[in-house]
Formats: sequence, structure tokens, C-alpha cells
Amino acid sequence: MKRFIYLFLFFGTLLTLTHADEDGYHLGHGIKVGNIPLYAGGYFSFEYENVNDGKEEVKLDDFSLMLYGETERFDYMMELEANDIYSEVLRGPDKNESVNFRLHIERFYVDYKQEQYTLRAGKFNSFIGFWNRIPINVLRDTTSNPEIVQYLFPHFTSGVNVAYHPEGWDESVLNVMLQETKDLDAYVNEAVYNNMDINRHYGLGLEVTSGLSAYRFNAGTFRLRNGEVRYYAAAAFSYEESRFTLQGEAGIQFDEDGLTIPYMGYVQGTYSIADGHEAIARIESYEDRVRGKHDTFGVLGYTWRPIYPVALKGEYQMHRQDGDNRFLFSVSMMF
Amino acid sequence: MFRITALMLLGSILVRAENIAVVVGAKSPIEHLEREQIRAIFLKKQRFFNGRALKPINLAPSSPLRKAFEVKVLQMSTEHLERYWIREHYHGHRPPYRVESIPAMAEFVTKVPGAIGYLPEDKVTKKMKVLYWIVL
Repeated sequence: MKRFIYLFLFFGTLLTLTHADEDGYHLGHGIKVGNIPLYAGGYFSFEYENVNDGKEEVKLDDFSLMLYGETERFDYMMELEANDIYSEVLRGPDKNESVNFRLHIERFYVDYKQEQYTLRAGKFNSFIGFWNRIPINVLRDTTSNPEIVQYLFPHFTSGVNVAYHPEGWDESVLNVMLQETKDLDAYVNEAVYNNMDINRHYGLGLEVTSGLSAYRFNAGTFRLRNGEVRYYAAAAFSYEESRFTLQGEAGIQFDEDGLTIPYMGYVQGTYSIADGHEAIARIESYEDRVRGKHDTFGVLGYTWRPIYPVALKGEYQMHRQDGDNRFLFSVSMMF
Repeated sequence: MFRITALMLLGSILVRAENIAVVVGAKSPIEHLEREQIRAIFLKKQRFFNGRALKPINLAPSSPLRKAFEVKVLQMSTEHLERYWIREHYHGHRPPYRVESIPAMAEFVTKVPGAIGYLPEDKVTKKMKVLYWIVL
């Protein structure tokens, strides 16, 4: 616990220092490196979780560093992340303390841009749905991720993506993702990090925006490194007004023998009570035959952002089984 | 009758003087843009026009001209834009290049190919082409 408090104070101090409104730097926007088109930034988050069945845990969940840049035709991004740097189970049968500072390749890619096409090569967030595109704690709506983002499709793709922007279709994009290798991070680390352990992913996605509404349609197939091949299909919608956002995602997953996930999805409403204060209500439901789990549960959350790149979030999850109910709290920051 | 006509003329001149012009250099191949296209360019969702890279230019955040541009063209509040660019920071994208003054904006637009900016109507010169009028 002592280590956790030191880490919390260290990052708290960093937060205070980096909030200094100096010329050329604003918290959450990164900083220019030298006189070349290169910027540095990152994010981190602390989490506290208290599960009804008796588990209580604190952890420094993410610490990430990003280096990226843009030129007329090329964009580039490298993101290294350490996960669960410090975690301590305070209560429960697995009571322990662990420290881990192994860096993983979270994203590493180059974009080549033309008027109607963007070619991306490397490791990147799969272009699927809404949540998966901005999955980090500080930018997402709640501390927890919906189940669909974790179990239905590969979180990341290591390969290429071709994005086609049809002429006259405002903000609409057709994505084709191709992966025919193991995860890029698996070349430097033994354990697969923050992703399904796959060596193939072919995916197709359509993004359509119309006024205040946006839609995403995805379908694809991936192959786990143990040889299992699965298929997925997903649809998502978002309706955003100035103070209110309604968002939902749903999908299925199957293999040659039948359905592995007959349904999985969520619907979430976010309401801005005042500047920096948001209330979130989410309902999730799924049946996952691979893990042998099914659940329908509600999430009530509250987020306070004293400034946008700093988030303090609390949420309570109400599951079918009382023992799975939990409270989560997190402090996260982007710099 | 003469007085009324004169007042109407004067009124229209005063209103017109406060309008904002979205401008490019006179040699630019772009002739006209719709508001949605300008919005896409300044949010860096559209980066090219006829194969040529676009370079949107902003004034400082405190500039009243920029605030008017953001409200009328981007149709986004300061907070909404802050949120948008922090999210874009995660995606590896930067906000438009920033200049500190209206003369600097005028110079940038006329000298840098692909540059697109906004100016008060009375600062528009023959070296520029107006693509869109923002009527205040």
C-alpha cells in the first residue's frame, strides 16, 4: 500500500507541474519535440475496485508514452505502455502485491494519405465500433470497458488498414483491415498483452455520419494462435447532442460449430450535468459460451473532469449475481 | 427618401464590415467551399483538395475573430473543441497551425500554397480569394 501511495503522490505532483500554463504546452495536448514534426504525450490511470464477493484491489493500471507526428503525406505513431505497474489485492483469497514494469508495444504505425485513401501499416486499434477507437481510461466514459470491446473482436490489428473516403459522403469511411501475423508486441514479449492471441484478422468496416447521428457496421474473422477460427459481426450507433449522448454497440461471434457469443452489447446514455460533470447509465447484456458466462447488468457512473484531460470517475455495477456487484473508482490523466 | 436610402446603405456597409471571409491565396485552384467542407478542413478531417494538401490556419484561442469562426463555421463551443483536440492527440493528430495576428494570417494565406484562413472583410486584398462569407 505504501508503494501505491508514493506512486499516487508522484503522479499527482506530475499532474500539478504539467498543468503549469507555459507557452507552448497545455495539459492533454502533448509537447513538441525539437524542430521536427514530432510530439510526445501519454496518459496514466489509478484504479480502485471493490467487488461484493470480497476482493478489493488498488492499481496503477496504465502508464503510456506516445511519440507521433504528421507531415503532408505521412502520419506516424509509436505508443509504449506498461500495464498493472503496481497492483495490490488488499482483501480476498488472492491477497498480494505485485510490481511490473514491462513495456509493451500498444500502437506502432505509419499512415500514407491520399485524397480518398489512407493506408496504415503497423499495429493499431482495430477500426471497429466507437468504444474501441478511444479505449483509454482518461478519454472513455467509465472506468470499466463494456464486455463487447474485450471479447467480441480483436482489440488491435497488426497489419494494414485501407481507409476509403467516398467522394461526397461527408465523414463516411470504408475500412479494410488485414492481419496475417501474430501481434506485433508478441515479437518482443512472450505474453500477449491487451489483445486476443491471434495470428490472423480480416475485417471490414463502414462508418457513416449523418447530422448528429453516426453508425458503424463491422464484420470479420480472426484466427487464434491455437488454430481456432472465429467470425464476428457488429453494429453501433451514436446520437450526440450538446449535453446528451446516446450510444450503443451490439454483435455476435461464431465459429464453424455454431455461435460462440450469441449476443453481446450495451446501450449507454451520458448526460452533462454541468461543465466537467457527467452522469452515465449503461445497460449491458451478453452470453459468452466460450467463457461459459452470461449476464445482464447495469452501470451507474459519475465523472468529474476539473479540466478535460483529468478525470475522476466513480461507478457502481449491478449484476445478476450479487457477488459480482462492484464499485470502481479511478483517477486518470492525459499529458 | 434620400435619407432612408443613405441610412440603409450605411447600415449594410457597417454590417458588411464585421463579416468574416474564409480565404485562400489568389492562385489557389479552390473557388468555393460549403460550410461543412470548411468545418471538415479545420477539424482536419479533410486534408486534401484536388490532390493538393490543405493547411488550415488558426488565430490565437483568445481572438474574437477565431471565436466567431468557431461558433459560426465549426459550430462547436470552446469546451467541445478542447475535447475534440485532446481526443485527436490520442489519435496522433494536431490542431491547425496557429498564427498570432491578423497580418500574420494574411501573409501566411497569400504566401503558403494550400493555406486557408479567415480574415475580417476589410483585410481581404486582391492577393486572396474569398471562398465563403461568414455573416455576423
